[in-house]
Amino acid sequence: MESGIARPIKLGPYTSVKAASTWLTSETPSGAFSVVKDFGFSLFAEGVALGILRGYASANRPYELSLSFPFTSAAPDSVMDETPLGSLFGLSAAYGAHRVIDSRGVEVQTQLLEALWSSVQRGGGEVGDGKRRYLVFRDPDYSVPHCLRHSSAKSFPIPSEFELLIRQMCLKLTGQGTAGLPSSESSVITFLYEAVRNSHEHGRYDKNGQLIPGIRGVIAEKYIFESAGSMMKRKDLPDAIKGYLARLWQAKPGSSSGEHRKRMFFSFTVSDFGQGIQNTLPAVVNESSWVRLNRAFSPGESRKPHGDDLNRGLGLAKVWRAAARLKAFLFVSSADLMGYKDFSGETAVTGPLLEKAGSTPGRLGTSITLLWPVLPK
Amino acid sequence: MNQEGQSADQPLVLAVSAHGSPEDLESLLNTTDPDSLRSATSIIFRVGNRLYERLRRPSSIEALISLANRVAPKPTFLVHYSKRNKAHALALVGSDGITETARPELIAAACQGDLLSVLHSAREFCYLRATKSHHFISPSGRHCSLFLRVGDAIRSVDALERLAFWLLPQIANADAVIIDSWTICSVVLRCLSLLNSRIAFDCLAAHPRFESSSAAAAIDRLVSPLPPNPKVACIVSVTSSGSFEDFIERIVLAVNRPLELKITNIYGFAGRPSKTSTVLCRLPEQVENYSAIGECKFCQDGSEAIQIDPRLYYFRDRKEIEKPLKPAHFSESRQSCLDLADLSGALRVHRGDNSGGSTKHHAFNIDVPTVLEKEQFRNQCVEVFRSLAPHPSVIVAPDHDAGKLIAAIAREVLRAQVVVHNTLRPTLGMAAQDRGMLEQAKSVLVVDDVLNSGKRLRDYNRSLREHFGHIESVAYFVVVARPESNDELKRTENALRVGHRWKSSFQYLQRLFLPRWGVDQCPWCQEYQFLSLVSERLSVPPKWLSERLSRLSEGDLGITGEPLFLLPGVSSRSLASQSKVAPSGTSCMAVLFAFAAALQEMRCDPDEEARLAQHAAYANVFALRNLTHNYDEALLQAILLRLVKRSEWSEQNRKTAQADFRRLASEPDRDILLGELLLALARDCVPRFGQKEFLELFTPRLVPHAGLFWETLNRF
Repeated sequence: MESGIARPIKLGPYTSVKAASTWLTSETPSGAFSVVKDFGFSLFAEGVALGILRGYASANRPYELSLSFPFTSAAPDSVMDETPLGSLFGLSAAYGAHRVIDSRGVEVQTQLLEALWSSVQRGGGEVGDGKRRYLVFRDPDYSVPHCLRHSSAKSFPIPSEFELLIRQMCLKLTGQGTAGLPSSESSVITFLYEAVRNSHEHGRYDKNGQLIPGIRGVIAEKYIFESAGSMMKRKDLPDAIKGYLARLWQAKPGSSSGEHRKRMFFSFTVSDFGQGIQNTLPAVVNESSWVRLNRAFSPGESRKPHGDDLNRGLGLAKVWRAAARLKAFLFVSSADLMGYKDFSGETAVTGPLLEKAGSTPGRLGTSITLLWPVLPK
Repeated sequence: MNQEGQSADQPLVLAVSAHGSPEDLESLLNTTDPDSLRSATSIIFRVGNRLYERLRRPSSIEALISLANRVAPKPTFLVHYSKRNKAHALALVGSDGITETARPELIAAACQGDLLSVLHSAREFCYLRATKSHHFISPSGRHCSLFLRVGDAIRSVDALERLAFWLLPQIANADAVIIDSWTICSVVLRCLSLLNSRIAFDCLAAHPRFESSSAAAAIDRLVSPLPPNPKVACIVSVTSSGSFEDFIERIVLAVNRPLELKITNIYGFAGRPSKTSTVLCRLPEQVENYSAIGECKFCQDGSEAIQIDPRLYYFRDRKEIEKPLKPAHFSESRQSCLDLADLSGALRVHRGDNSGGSTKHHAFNIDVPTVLEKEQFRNQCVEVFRSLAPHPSVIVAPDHDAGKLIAAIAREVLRAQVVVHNTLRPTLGMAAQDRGMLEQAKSVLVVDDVLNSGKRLRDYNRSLREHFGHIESVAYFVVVARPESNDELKRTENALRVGHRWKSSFQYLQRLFLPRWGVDQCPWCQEYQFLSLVSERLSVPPKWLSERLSRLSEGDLGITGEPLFLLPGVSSRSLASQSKVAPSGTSCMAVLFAFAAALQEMRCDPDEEARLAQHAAYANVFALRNLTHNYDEALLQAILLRLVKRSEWSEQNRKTAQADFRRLASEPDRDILLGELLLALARDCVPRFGQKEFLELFTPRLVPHAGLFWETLNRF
C-alpha cells in the first residue's frame, strides 16, 4: 500500500446502506477499498454507494481498489459474472480509482476496464445475471445505451423502448417475461421512464451546467423470500422494508397459509451522479433542504422555466404516483439526504417521505429505488 | 372543409408507433413543438388497434384523462381504424374515460393535417417547382408549374404508416386495387399487411395517356378472376388537372367489364375541377397548367419545358452550376456578428432552448442576457423605450428569464405594469389581475429577447386583436432579430404592423439572418453522433475526445468556446490579417456566425440564379473554388466544411475532387482543417477517401485510434 493511504475499507458481502454511509465520514480513513470475491450490496445500498464514489471524485479524494483475488481477462465473456466488480458500482469504482491492483500485486485497471466495458458493449448496455440486471449509461459518450436507442445516440428514448427493456429484463430475471405483473406494467414503465429522464436531464451536470463524465444506470433486482419468517430473520434488510414486506405478506383475512408462501419482489433503482434533487430545485426562503426534496415530488415543481412544456415539473410527481399505484416502497437517496415512503397503506399516497436518520455530508448523486411485490399470475 | 383545404377544425395529429405503449402518448405530447400545440384546436392521437385496446383498459384510462386535462380546454381524441366497421373511428377522451364519437368532419380534418405533415417534412424531396428558366411537362402531357412525386415523400416508416393508415378503409372495402404508380406501392402493401388481406392489386405501367392499352390490360387482368361487379379501388397519388381520372374512366369503359370503380386521390392540388373521386388531402398549392405548348405561358416567357417520364415519373440528368459566395453576402449581418462577438458567451452554437419550457434545439443561438450585460446594449434598449409614443402602460413579456430581464429594464424606464404570459390568451392560465391590466390598457409594449420565426409575436398580436381589441397602440421590441431572410422579417413586420386599428411599431437592436436548424440539421448534433460512436467503443476514451463530447452534451449551455472540432495537438485560431470577412484577430465563433449568416444570405439570394438552392432541373451548388481559392485561409475553410450542407456540395465534385481535399488538408499549417474534414467525411459532404489515404492523413493526429475512426466512418 502507498504511504499516506490508511487501512483500506473492506468491501464484503451484503454491504449495507449504513456501512456505505461511513465511507465518507471524516473519522473513517479512506483512500483504498479492498474488494473481496463475494462483495455485494444489500437492498438500496448500491445506489447510495455510487453517490459516495461521486463524493470522492468531487472532493478530489483519490482512492485505490485492491482485489483480494487474481484478475485475468482470459474469459472476457464471463467477466461481469465472475468479478464482483461486474456491477454499476464496480464499473464506476474501476473508472474512478487511480489504480486497481489484484491479489498478485499486479496493476489490472486497464484489463479490468476493457473486460467490463466490452461486456457492456456486447449486451447493448444491459448486463447482469438472473438475480440482478444492470443498465449502464456512460457519460458523455453512452448517455443512451444501445438497447434503449430509438433513433440516435442523442435523443432520449420514448416510453415504449423502456417497455421493451423491462420485458427483456423481467424475462432474464424470472424466465417468464412480464408474466405476473401485467397490472403493474404501466406503472413500472412510468417509473423507469420518468426517473431515467430525470437522471438524463438533471443527474449528470454540475451546478454550472457542465457535464460530469461517469457511470450512471439502472439496477433491476429480484428478491425471493421463502416465508415471512425467513424474511424477518434477514440481517441485510433494513427494518423499514421488513415492515413493508411483512404487511404485504399477509394473506387474505381468515387464511393462515400466507405466512409460509414464497413471495417474489422486484426493485428498480435509477442512480445518477448529479447534485441531488433538492440541490437542483430553486429554493424557497427559509425552506430546509429536506422540505425541498419533498417538494420536488409535487406536481409542477421544476428547475426549468415556466412555459409551454407540458411535462414541466411532472417527472418526479409521476414517479410518486407510479409508486402509489404499485403500493410500492420508494427509497430516495439524494446527495446528503435519504428518505423512504411506504405506499402499502390505504392512505399512504399523501404525506412526505420519512427521513432516514443521519445525513451523509459529501455524498452526491441521486438514487431512487422502487420495490414492489410481484403478484401471482 | 372548403375548397382551399382550410377547415374550421385544425387538429394536431400525433402518431403513436404501431408498437407504442400508453405512456408514449404523453411523451409524444412533451416533445411536440409548442407552437403547433398552441395553434391546434384539438389534439388527436392516431393509434393502432392493439394500442387502442390497451388504452381502453382501466389501467390506462387514468393516464389518458390526466393527459386530456393537461391540454384542456382543447379536446383530446383517439383515432383508430375499426376493423368491424372498415372505417376510421374517433373516440373522445373525457373525464369519464373514452367515448366513441361520430365526427366525420374531424376525422377528415385529421387526415388532411396528418397527410399534409408527411409532405411538409419531405418537401425538399417530393416537390418539383418551376423556376423562371424551367417548368415541367407532366406525365399527362400538360405544361405545369409544380409536380408532386408522392413516392419521394415516403422517407421513413412513420411516413409510410401515416399514408397507409388513412388509406385503410379504401383498401378494406375493395375486392381489388389498382394504383397509378409503382412509387406508392409500398403504401398499398402496408395496408394489405395491416388488414391481413390478400386481395389482388396491380399498377399501371405508365400514365394512361401514353399507354392506354397496357392500362386496359392491367385492369382486365386484375378483375377477370373476380366475381361479377367487383369493387375496384383505384389509388391515385395526386390529382392536379383531373385528367388521370378522365383517362381511367374511359379505359374502364373500353375494358367493358362490369365493375364498381372508386377512385381515391391521396393528394389533390387546390382548384382541381370537381369530380366524383375522393381526395384525402387537399393541398394549399394551386398548379398553373396548360394543355398545349401553344397555350403555355411559361414557354412564351422563354422557360424551358422539362419532360417528366410518364413511366418513372422522374426526369434525368440534373445540371449543377457552381456558385460563388460573394462579399456582398456578408454585408447584411457581418456587423451584428462582430458587435455581439465582443461579449463572451453571447454567440453560441448547439444549444437546447429551455426558455418558454420548450424542447427546441438551436444550431445557432444568441444569448440575450449576456448581450444585455453590456452597458451599450442596455442603453440602446433604454433609448428605444424612452422614445415610445404614446407611453405604454403595460409591458408584456414571455415567461422566460431573458424576457423578464428586458421587461424589468422597460419597467424602470416606463414605470409601467408587467404582464408575464406566453400567449396572452385569457383561457390559457392568465391571472385575473393581468387580464384586468390589459383590459384597462390603451398602449402596450410587447418585448422578447429574440425574433426567430416570429411565431410568438404573431401569436401575441392575434391574442391582442381577439381579446383586447380596444388597445390603441402596440409597440413590439426584440433585442435581436434573427430570421432566416429579409423576406421573412418583412412578412413578420407586416403581420405585426399592418391591418390593425391600433397604431403599431416594431423595433430591434440587432439584425442578422441565420439558418433555423434544429436537431436534424445541426452539424454539432451530427458531430456528437459520430464522435460518440467512436468513443463508446473504447473502454477508456482519450481525454480530448471525452472533453469534446462533454461540451457537445451540455445542451443548456450550448458551445461558447471553440465551435470547431480540433484534433489533439491542434490549437484554436482567430482570423488572420487582411481578410475580407472581418478584422484580424476576430474570434473563430464570430467568424463562424458571419459565415453562417453569409451562407444563409446566399440561400435566400433574391436573384434566383445566384441562390444556393436545389431546383428540379438544375442545382446551384456551393462552388469548390470558394474553398480552394476565394476563402483559402485554413480557419475559413474549416468553417465552410462545417456549415455547408451536404446537399449544397456538388455531386460531380464528390466524384472527382478527392485530390483537392487531400491536398488542402496536407498543406503545412492547415491542421485546423483536419477535424472538420473528418466530420465532413462522416456527413458525406466531401469525396470519400480510401483507407490508405485516410490513414496517411489522419494517423499522425489520431494515433492509436485512426483505424477506429476509419471503421466508424464506414458505419456512420
